[in-house]
Amino acid sequence: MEKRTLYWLIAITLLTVALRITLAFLIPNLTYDSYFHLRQVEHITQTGMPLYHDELSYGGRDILFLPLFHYFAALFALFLPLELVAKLLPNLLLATLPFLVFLLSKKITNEDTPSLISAFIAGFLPIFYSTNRFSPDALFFPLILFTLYCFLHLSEKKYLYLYLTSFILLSLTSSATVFLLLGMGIYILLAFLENKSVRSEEKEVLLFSLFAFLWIQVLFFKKIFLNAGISFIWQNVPSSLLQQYFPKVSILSALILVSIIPFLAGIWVVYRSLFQSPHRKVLLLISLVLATTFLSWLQLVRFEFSLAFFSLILAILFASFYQQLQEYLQRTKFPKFHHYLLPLTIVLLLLTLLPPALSTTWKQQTPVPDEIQAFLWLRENTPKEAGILALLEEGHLVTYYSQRHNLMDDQFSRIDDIDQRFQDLNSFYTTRFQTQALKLLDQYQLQYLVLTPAAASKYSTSNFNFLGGECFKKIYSNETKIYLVKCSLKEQETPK
Amino acid sequence: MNPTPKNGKENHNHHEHHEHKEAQEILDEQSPYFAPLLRHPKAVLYGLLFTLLILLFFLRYTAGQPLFAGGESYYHLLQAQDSASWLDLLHLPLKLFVSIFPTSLLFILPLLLAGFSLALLLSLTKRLELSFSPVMLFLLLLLTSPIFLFKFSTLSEASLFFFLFLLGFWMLSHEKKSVCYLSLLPFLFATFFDVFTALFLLLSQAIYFLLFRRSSSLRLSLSIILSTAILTTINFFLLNLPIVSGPFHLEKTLPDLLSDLGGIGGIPLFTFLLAVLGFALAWREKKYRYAYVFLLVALPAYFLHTQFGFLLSLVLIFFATAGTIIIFEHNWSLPLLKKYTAFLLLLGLLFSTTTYLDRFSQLSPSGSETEALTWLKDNVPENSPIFSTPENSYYLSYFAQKEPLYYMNSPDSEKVNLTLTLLSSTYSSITFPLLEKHQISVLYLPLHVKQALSSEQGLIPLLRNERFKMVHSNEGAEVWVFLSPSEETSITS
Repeated sequence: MEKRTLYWLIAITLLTVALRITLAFLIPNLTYDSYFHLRQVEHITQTGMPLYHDELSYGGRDILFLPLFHYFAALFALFLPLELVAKLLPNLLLATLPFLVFLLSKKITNEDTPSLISAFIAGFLPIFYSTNRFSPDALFFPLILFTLYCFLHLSEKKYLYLYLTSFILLSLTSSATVFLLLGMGIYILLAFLENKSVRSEEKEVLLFSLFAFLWIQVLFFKKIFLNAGISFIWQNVPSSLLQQYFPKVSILSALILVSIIPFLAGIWVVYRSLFQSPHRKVLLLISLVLATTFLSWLQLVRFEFSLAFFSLILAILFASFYQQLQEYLQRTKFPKFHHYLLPLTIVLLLLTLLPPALSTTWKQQTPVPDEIQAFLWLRENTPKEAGILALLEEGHLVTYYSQRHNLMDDQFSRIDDIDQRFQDLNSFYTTRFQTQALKLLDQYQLQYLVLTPAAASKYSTSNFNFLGGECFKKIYSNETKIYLVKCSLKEQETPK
Repeated sequence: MNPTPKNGKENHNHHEHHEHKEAQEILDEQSPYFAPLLRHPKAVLYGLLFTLLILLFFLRYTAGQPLFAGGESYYHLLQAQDSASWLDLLHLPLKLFVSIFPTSLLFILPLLLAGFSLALLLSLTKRLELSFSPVMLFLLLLLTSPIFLFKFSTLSEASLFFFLFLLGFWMLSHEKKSVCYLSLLPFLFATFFDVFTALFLLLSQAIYFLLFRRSSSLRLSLSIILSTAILTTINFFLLNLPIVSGPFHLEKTLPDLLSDLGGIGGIPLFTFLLAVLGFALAWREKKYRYAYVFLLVALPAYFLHTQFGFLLSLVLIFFATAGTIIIFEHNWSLPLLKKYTAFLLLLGLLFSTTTYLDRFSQLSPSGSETEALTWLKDNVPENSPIFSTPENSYYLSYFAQKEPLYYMNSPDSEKVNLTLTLLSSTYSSITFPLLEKHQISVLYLPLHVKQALSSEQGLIPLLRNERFKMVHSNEGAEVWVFLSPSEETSITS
């Protein structure tokens, strides 16, 4: 690599790091789902083991997940404050994306400038700008790109070992590794249809990867597979939330999150390549695009997640597009225009990448400090066995900050009556009947009700509608309100 | 003497080639991994077979469960008890066994069938001069598959059919023509199960004659195939032979095929993947092509009833064997990866089998369920119809000696609708008149049924009504009575 290129690459990476970390610290807290992972990391640092049996979530339940990211974070949490790790680590990990995208683009185009542009795109992809999110995705995306890079260098023995190691780590980080496997499978199929020879080591590695991935998933999720059967794919998400988790593809939101230029360029590269004889490496990337599209279309993976992977592949393919565009311009009657191509591309990219990226950051769903204060207050002022009603999104705040049991959180797997529970949770915020509320409070053993500004806004209400009389006492009043339940309803009613 | 550089290079190359070859051997007779199994194959196979099957019974015994899991065994026991006709050929041996030996020794029957089937298969391999390593691999995959373990640890049609099927071909492969003709007996016996099973048999016979007995007389081939076909037709039209027998449990297409998804039997996920690979790769080799034809029978039959899963599994395990051979016989450019892949496969298969062993002891009926059913037998008047979910129908009939609403394998649409309504309705205005109309006064609800039903809707919340009274409960297996407003029950709890 030329020194100049290296400097540019370091500059892009540093710029990404600086922007990400600044944004992360401008917003005071983490996203709601982050607190689940935070708690797991905290538990690992204290006991060395993940919290596979959680006494607080849903009032006590078993929970299964792949623990590599949490162990990785716990390593840093040994010598840094956990909340600092939670803000720094994901942003540092995601800041490696430009570097990895550069390597992959260089492998395809063998040119520095297009690869640097791809790296630039990867550094500012809007979908990755949830800077306050602490989740395994932050490790998954760099790791999958690294695995892909090793796969393209399998002829070198060093990379074979690196591939095997990174693939195992990837399988221990997220089940979304299936993207890579399906992509490689489609690649072999397309190569077969195109009469292209696939190198034997690639087939062998795919076979090994398939069995290794399945073995790890079966090992960790055996109980989910046995109990839920094929429904494990939908992670037991309540049916009314399925649309939110697996939404129909909206071209507009895809364009904004992936950014319009890489999106159009990627589509063009894929289209062109399908009607020409594509290079082996481009074919692999196209296969990954097809795998992602296929899984999203069948609603088998979370839309946002597949879009993130999709955008990375498009960023890599952009290098190929830029290279072809350069070659094309030189063949036209305006070869001098070629000199303006780079600045024009950068300006266009900046205009289409930065505003949506910043907008994604500001739109992150995070609790406000007052809410956090309320949940911390609950830890100090309620008995340890108390149950607390809060929004689904706030479930992890109840377990992390208040250290009390919640009604529900977004870890749905292996919960039997998930739809009923979700319906009951909504009932608390909508019902006007005190008897109904008291019955549900008895049923789920909840003694405290929390109404945060987020909950008030979500249900367009200023308070719980069933309050009144002697049964509920306001014990905390700020922007967030907390009520103590003082009554219990004896079940005397007969069925309808 | 120092070797010349050229010789040295040759030696080095030879050594490298030998090492490379050694590293590649996974399934050969010379393989350091597979060879020990091939040295004493019979000991390995019989040891594995009986260890696994006895372990299954032992696990159920120590968990306090009846030895036979699943409804099918009890269906056959009921048939053997009730059937007076000598025409019920399938249940005659069972009837004979029960009349001579105590029922506690019934577990010997599937063990005997398994042992004899394995002996016949090994002998057949020898007679047909098949290469042993693929057969060994096939048998290892088969014997460790949950579907085989389930079918050969219960009283099942599949195990009896498999035995008759092998016995027929074993006799057919005999040198003496008279013995060949005698093979008609087990073959004809094997046509009494269901239409698709008989079709599977016919197809096997045709392929056998094509592959192994090309030189044999046309008369023998025709008489075997035609007799089987004619008897199947007669059975279908005159004896109302079912298209596919069953179901004897709540069928789920995918879990019943893949044991790792929680079905009652099935094959391990890794075997299935190998079968898919085998399916994709085996067509290139002529010797495997006939196997595809079996899928034409096995797949539609399986989709009709997963009861056909055993025969489909046989075909899939064949493809898995072919897939494994094609993958591992081929020289890999990364030999180390080949070893790792084989190791992973082995781990995956072992994991599935051990998980199944663990799960098998929890299959219905449990000890608490049989206790509740025996209580029903002793305490509920003879003529009371019992309501429960259909998969409990055989247990109700066998243990409680009570008539269920309907048997799972002979559903009556009116009764099915009635059951569905009773399970889903939360309204007493719908449920009570139905119970009264059908004179249902007793409900049997084991734990797994209650867990499957919603606690907020349907029958379970309705049980809080004063007209329902729980009269017996044992570790979640409950008996409820439905009281008429004026009447007092004679049942004492």
